Order: sequence, then structure tokens, then C-alpha cells
Amino acid sequence: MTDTQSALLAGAPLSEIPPARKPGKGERAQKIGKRSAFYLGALLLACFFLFPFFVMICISLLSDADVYLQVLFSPEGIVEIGNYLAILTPGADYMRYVANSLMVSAICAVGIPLVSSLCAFGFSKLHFHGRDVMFSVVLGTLMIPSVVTMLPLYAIYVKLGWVDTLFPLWVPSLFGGGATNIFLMRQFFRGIPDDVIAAAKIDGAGTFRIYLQFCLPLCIPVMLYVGYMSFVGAWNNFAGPMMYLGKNSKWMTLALGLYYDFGPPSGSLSNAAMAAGAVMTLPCIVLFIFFQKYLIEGVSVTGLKG
Amino acid sequence: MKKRWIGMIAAAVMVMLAVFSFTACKVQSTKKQDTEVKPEENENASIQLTVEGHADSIEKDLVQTWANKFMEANKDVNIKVNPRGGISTMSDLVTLEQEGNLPDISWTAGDQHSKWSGSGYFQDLSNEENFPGSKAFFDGMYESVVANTHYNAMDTGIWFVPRDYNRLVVFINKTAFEKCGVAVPSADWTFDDLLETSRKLMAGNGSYECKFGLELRNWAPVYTTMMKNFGATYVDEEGYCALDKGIGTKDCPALNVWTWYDNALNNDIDIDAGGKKFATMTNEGSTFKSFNPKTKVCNSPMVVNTYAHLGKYIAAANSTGWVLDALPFPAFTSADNQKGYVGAGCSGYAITKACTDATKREWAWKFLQYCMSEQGYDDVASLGVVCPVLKSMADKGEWTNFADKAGNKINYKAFVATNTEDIDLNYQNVLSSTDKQADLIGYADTFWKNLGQNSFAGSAEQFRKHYESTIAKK
Amino acid sequence: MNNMLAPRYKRRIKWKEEVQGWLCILPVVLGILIFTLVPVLYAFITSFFETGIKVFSLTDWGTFVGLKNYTQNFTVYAYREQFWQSMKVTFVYALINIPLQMVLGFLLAVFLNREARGIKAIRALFYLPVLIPPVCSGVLWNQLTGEYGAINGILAKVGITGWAWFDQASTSMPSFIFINLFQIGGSMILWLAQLKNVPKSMYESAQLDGASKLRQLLVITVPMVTPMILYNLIMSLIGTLQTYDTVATLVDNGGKQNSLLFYMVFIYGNRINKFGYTCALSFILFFITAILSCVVMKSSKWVYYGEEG
Repeated sequence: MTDTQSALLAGAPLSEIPPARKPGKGERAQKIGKRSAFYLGALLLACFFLFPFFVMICISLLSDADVYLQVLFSPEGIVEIGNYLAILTPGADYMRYVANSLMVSAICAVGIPLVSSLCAFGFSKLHFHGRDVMFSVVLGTLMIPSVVTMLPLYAIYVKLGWVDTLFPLWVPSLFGGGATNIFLMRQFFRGIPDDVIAAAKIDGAGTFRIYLQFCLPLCIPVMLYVGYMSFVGAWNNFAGPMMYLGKNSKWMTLALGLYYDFGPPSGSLSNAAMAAGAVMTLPCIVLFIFFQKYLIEGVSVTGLKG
Repeated sequence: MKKRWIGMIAAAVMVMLAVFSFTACKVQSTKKQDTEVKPEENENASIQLTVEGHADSIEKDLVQTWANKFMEANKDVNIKVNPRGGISTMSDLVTLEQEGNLPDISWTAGDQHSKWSGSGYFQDLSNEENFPGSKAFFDGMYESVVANTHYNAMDTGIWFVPRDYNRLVVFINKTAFEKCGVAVPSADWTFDDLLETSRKLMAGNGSYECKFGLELRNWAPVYTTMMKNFGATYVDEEGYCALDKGIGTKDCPALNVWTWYDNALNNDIDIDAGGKKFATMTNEGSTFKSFNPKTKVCNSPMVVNTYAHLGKYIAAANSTGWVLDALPFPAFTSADNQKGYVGAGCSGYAITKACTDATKREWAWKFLQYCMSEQGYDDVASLGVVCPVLKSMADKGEWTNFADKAGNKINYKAFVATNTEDIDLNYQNVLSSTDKQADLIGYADTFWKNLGQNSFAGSAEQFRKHYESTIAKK
Repeated sequence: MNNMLAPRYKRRIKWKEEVQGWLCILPVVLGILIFTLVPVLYAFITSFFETGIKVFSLTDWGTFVGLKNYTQNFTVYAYREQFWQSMKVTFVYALINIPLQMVLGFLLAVFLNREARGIKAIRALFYLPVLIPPVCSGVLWNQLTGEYGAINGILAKVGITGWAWFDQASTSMPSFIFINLFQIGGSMILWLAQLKNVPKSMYESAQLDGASKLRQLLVITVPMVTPMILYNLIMSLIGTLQTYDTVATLVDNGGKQNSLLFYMVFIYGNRINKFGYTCALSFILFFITAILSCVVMKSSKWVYYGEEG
């Protein structure tokens, strides 16, 4: 019996009955053909997209003399790992940049989800006067371009003595965590039914305990998403350090250090620049592999229904 | 899920290893040299001075060497050179002041100091009372670099001590010359000789050739030199825009410079070189440095640069194995047999407004007098960074013995040649306001950026419109 | 009994909850006050002054020049030329790049929106280029597209020469748009999430009706993802007008003949010498962003909000 016949017999509704066809050899071949065409196409496209990565690694392994030959692989078969060794030795400037960047990114990755979830909890589960007005204000700050605040903030930081330190890079983000993150977490919180909260209140739990014990554990996926995005955001942040850190600062972060030491102003050779770039990209890729699941989930929670 | 990823990564690594070992690759690692002069300290010194040098690492070594030698001889003074600092653009001075770290002695560029010297950041070193012996000191230096120390044409103050005499020279790659079978020109060569040499280099000798004959730098001193040689100026003495003087007539000097550059970089002059342009332009002159004797083609065997880059070129020559030398900038023979001009710039050290205490100032002045003395220059000759600014050292001193690893001496006479006349590179000093000077420099840079992209008429008109809209002489 | 207690109890709860509520959002309120409101006011006031290259101080504001910082973008040739050039560059880039990336990202998502073995790994491969930090990407492409760079070498071997990448004004913008095409993976993930919300039953009934795949795409998929289109449009707009990281690390100071002089590059370039002027410029950007966002929101009648699911 074909699927159609068995479905009809079983009394399945019309929409669930597969159309009656004879699955012949030709059709299976066609299916395999379509499948392989898909895989081929996808792989070709993927090759195109991954081409910059591939070139980056290839050039980072060229020796100084080979760089000017415009090749991807050394014609004499020399693989030069000196560039990687130079930046990964413990005393190198590059490691100092990495340490500074890690510090800032770690603080952001831990602090921002906590703060934004607290604020989002306030905006969604608690009732107080002016709640909705304040939320619209928070959303409104999304529209202010960062440059409008960055220039005067520089003057303010000079007064505070924060210029040439790392404070301007993480302290502001701990004040609320950014409007997008608060919006995100609020959407998620709204999905938690109010009965749970009411039941906990009747049991005598204080608001803060409700937040810690009930809501936080439920939002672990979103928190991980926000934490990941905050880490990557702080790791890649370029305009901020450029504005607030001096050119040879003790607190130089990786993004800015890469630009000054290996970018256009430096005139360094391609292979050194590629090696430095590859090492900078590595943590992002590794983290992505581990957080891939939460990333996709977090995106679908952004609640794009306005 | 994680196991699959680990599996995939392991497979990828194994594939790579297999590929590399299959093609019998040699894995090597060349250590990058990092020569750093260690700072010394006079523990119980009563006088503390802070110095900010230029941000380049080789220049940090320079200042540190001077400081160490001075502290050895004078135990009362402790000089702290900021190990991680350094001025790379003049605006860094403002940043330092904001942080409260304005040093006592600061490096300054010879051509961009006006805004700071004109607004009180530096002290006037021509003041005999505060700085005894200054007249004799500065009289011993080349006049063209002392002229750089004023902040506009009317100013007579000397706002910093020039530390080097950076005349434009042509560095040459002797190995490439040999391979092409071309003789090295003599020291009194002219622009025509330059063209001829480029042609011969690009023609090669059958088995070896050069891609270009000359590498020019996208740099104001080079442009200013060429403009002066052709008789063009940006602004005339009364402050009117003079770049397009004579446009549309038979003789427009600026158009002649433009055409020379255009022919060098974009078209071929009739040099019978197969339609190839004979020069290339880069930001730092890096193509010259990247020469590899194993290749079949030399990208650029000659480059126009200054003594300050000698150390870098020697390091490259030592590491890849070629021979460096230098020739003076060729003389431009004009219609009335004038000798031709070449730009001579400098950078230097200023005593800032932070050094107010009389004793500190006295010692800062002594330090600078030491650095820019025959002894001081001898102490740093091996670094290949500064060409002495003292006229008395044109023929003597340790710096004349500078050689590469194999012992090939650099022709030091190229750097202090007299085949052409020095010109003051600070063309912007014709304007009295330092703000407008910065604008003028910007407009001139924009004009030259149009090379190869726009026509001369369009670029000159843009310059005129810029000038007249903000600097306001019509 | 409950009723008698209720009013006082309710009021106490209400007051307690008010305080707790405000305590909860205290960080963000303080943050907005200190790090947003005060700087915006400061920038607004400074935009009416002309400041020189001096140390910032709260007492010395510079010389008051009124609206000069705003109007000289129209009156003085030197400022007018750079201002309108940066506007032109930014808007041309936005007009071309935003639709291009949306459409290509959407098509890629549709292509990969199927069940197949290893589809997750394939999707991850497309997302990898997005993970390269913008700084790295700029440095990478700067080196690759140099005159003696690797890409020109490879193209020469295949026989394609003459594309000057970033060395010529005419080829700079197309090259820049090409480079940013590698970021499609990011929008692809967002589209995939939205595509999953389209119920399969709609596709099936359309197939039964005999609709071709293309018609299905146009008539079902596109209208169902219009909320995503709106969101993407606004966020892209705000983001693209502020492009900075990628282009600052790629070319020096606006590229050849200011062909890549984006608005933010223009602002950052002048921030030390002409602080008042740059504050005025940033406010102009603010107004433009706000106006455009409002326009897009107001005209969003074409968005179809499906069942709130």
C-alpha cells in the first residue's frame, strides 16, 4: 500500500494525506540529484565566504621575503611561524593587549546580563508610576548616535581623571547594560506567566528573592546570549579605546593595539598583521562554537512583533 | 554536538599537517630583533627631568642613550624618558597636558610646531638670559634648520633645538644597480641624469630588470622641493593664492610640476622604456626597503628620503643581504642655470612651559646642549637616526663611519652635499595665524592627493576656493 | 476580614512596590542621566561655541559663535565641500548596501532553510565571516588589496587586472560594498529565525493549489516576514549611518579623494582641533537619524503582524 492509501484508510483529514504518487527509481535519483546540487551549491558559496579566512591564515605563515611575491603559499615551502611566536611570547605587547581586552570583556560579559535583567525585571514584573514612560525613554536612547555622547564624555572623563584608563570602557555599560539588552530581556520576562510570581508572593517571598530564585534561572539562555554579545562587543570595541586611550597607553586594548601596531599607520608587513588578526579572531570563533545554540535561540526571542 | 565539532577540528588539523609534511615544508621562525636601550637612573638625584621622545622605537633608543650618557656624567640629575610614551602627532601634547603629564622636554616636529610654539607651550630659547650661550649654540647650526624653528615669517624666537639636518637624499640599492649593469651616478648628477638612470635600470640587462626607476614619497617636503625647483608657490608674499599663477598661459610653474609628476607616475615621458611609467609613489617608501635579492625583479632601486630612515634601511639590507648607499638629491638645471633647490627639514626638542623652575630649566638646557654637541652625536652615531645639525661636523665625527654588517660604508657626503641650495620647508609660515597655517597645510595636501585622479585645473581651482573661503585673501 | 485589611495593606504594598520598582531600574536611570543626558546637553551647548586646540575646562568654553558651526556647512566652501561629500558617501553607501544586504541575506536564508544533514554546520560556516572583528577585517582587507597584495596577485594569475580596489576614488566604494557582502551571514541568521515562524501549513495549501516555488516565496514568505523587514530596516539605517570601525581601519583618512569619507570618519577626524564644530555635526546626525526612523515607522502600514504566538 502506498502512503496515500494507508492514510485514506486511517481516516486522516484531507490536508494530511500525501498526494498519490509512485515513488519510482527515477524520482529517487532526481531527489539525490537535487540534494547533491544543493550541497554543491552550498559548499561553493561557503568557499567564497571563507576565502578571506583562508587567505589570512596562508599569508600569516609566509616569511618576510615571500610576502612581496604576492603568493599564498611559499614557493620554497617555508612555513614561517615566527610571527605567531613574536606575538604570543609572555612579555610581548600583544599579550598585554590581550590581558586588558579580556579584563574589560569579562567584566562586561558578566555584569551586563545581570544589570539588564534586573532592570528588565523592574520594567516587566513590577508596577510603579511612570514605568511605561521610563521604558519609552530607555528605548528612545537607541536613536541617539553614540558619537553625540562620546565627544562630551571625553571632556567629562578628563575631569574625572579616567582618560588613559580602562574605566570608560566598562563602567557606563554597567549602568543598565544598554537599551537593546533591556528590551530583549523584557520581552523574555513577559513570557513568564504572572501566576508564578503571584504564587511566590503569597508564599511570602520578597521581590528580590523572586527575581533571584525564580526569574533568573528561567532566563539562562537569554542571559548567555546577552553575555556572549556583550563579550564580543567589548572585545571588538574600537572607537571607544581610540577616543579614551593614549597611543602608547599601558592599558591598550587589543582592537586598538592591533590597529596601531599592524594596521595602516604602522606600515608593518602583511604576515605579521595577518597573524595578529588571526589570534584576535580566535576567541570569537571558539566562543561561537560553544554558544551557537544560545545564539540562535536568543535571536528568535528578540520578539520581532513590534 | 561538542564531540562532532572536536572531531571536525581534529580532522582539519590532521589534514593540514598531512599537506604540509607532504610538500616537505620547512618550518622556520625568524626571531624579530628588539634592541632596547635599558634606562638608567640616578637614585639620589636632586633634579628630576622628564622627557618625551618621538614614539618610534628606534628614536626611543636615541633619547635613552643620550639620557644615560648625560646621567653618567652628571650624578645630580635624573632624567626619566617615558618608556611607553612618545609623541607621534603633535596633538599628543594636548593629551599629555590634559592628563597632567606635560614633560619638561618634548620632541617636536620641525614643520608642525607652530600651533604649539605660537600659543605658549614652548619656551623661547633665543633668550640669552634664561638660556646662556644660545646665540653661539644656534649659530653653529645650519641656517635652514634654524629657520624652521620660528612659528611664522615675522617671528624671531627660537622655540626648539633642532636635532637633525634632514636633507632630501636619494637612497640607492647598489645590488640592484650591479645586477642591471648600471653604473652608480656621480654626486653632481641632475634631473636629466635621474631620468636616464631610471631608463637604464628599467631596461635591465636581459636577466634582471627593475619595475620602476624611482620611488617617491607622498610627503610634503618632496612636493615643496619640486615646487620650488619649478618656481611655483602656494601663497605669495601678500597672502594671495598663487598656485594657479599663469594658468592658461605659456608658463604656469605649478602646472609644470604637476605634469612632471603626472609623467613620472602615470604616463611615460619619451624615455623609450616601453611605455612604462618610471616612478612609483608610496607613503613611507616601503617598497625600496622590501627588496629581496632572490627575486628576478627589483621593484624600486632608488628612493627619495631623509637620513632619519637610514637605520631602517640598513636593518633591512642586513637582514636580506643587499648593499645600501646614498646620493645627494639631483640638481635641477633651470633655464637661467640656477643650481636647484632641495628641502632640508628637521625635528627637535623643546623645553615646555612645564619646566618653570630655574634650576630645572638650567639643567634641561645643559642636557640639550650636550645632545646636540659633537660628543653627543658621536655617542648615538651607531643608531643611524640623526644627521648632525652642527656645521662643524659636516666632515668629521663618528657618524661618517656608519656602515652595514659587512662593512660597506654609507657615503655620508650625500647627506651634507652642497650641490643644491637648502630651502625652508615651512611654507605655511607666510601666514601669521597658526590656525590658518594648519588649514593651508590641509589644502596643499588635498591638492596633491588629486594627482592622477583629477586635472590640474580642477585641483588648482579647488585649492583656490578652499583658500579664499577660510583664509580670506582673494 | 480581608476586606477590612485590604485598603491599608494594598496601599503599603503599592508604596513598597514603587520603591522596589524604582530601585530595580535605578542603574539604567542613573546611566541615562549621567552618561546620556549630561553629555547630550554638553554637546548641544558646545555646538554653539568655537573651541581651539586647548585643554577642556568647564569655565573656558571658547568663543560664542551662535549657529556658525551649523551654517558654515552651507556657506563656507571648505566646510561645505567636506560636509556634503561625507553626506553623499554615507547616504550612497546606505542606499545601496541596506537593500542589497537585506535581499541577499533573505535569499541566503531561504536557500538554507531546509532540513538536510549537516545544515547547521553549513549555516555556521556562512556566519563565520561575521565573527571577524571589524578592526581585523579592516586590517585584513587593507593588506589583501594593496598594490602588491595577495588578491591582486591571484587575480593577475587568472588574468583579471586593472581593478584598483582602494587606490582610486572610482573603485573605492564598490570595493567597500563588496567587502561588506561578507557580513550577510549575520542577517541570514535573523531571517532564518523569522522564517521558522511561517507556518508550514500555508506552504502546503499553496502547493496543493498548484503554486510554483517562486510564487510561494513572493506571496507567502515575504509578507509574513515584514515585521523583520521593518526591524532590519530601522536597525540597519541607524547602524549604517554610523559606520566607522570598518572604514577607519581600512583606509587612511577618508580614502582617495575622500571617496570613503564617511560621516563618522569626518567627525572623528576633526574632534581635537574643532570640538565645537564636531558637536554640531553629531547633532545634525542625530536629527537625521531621528527623522528617518520616524518616517520609516510611520509609513509601516505594510507590515503584517501575524497572530501573536
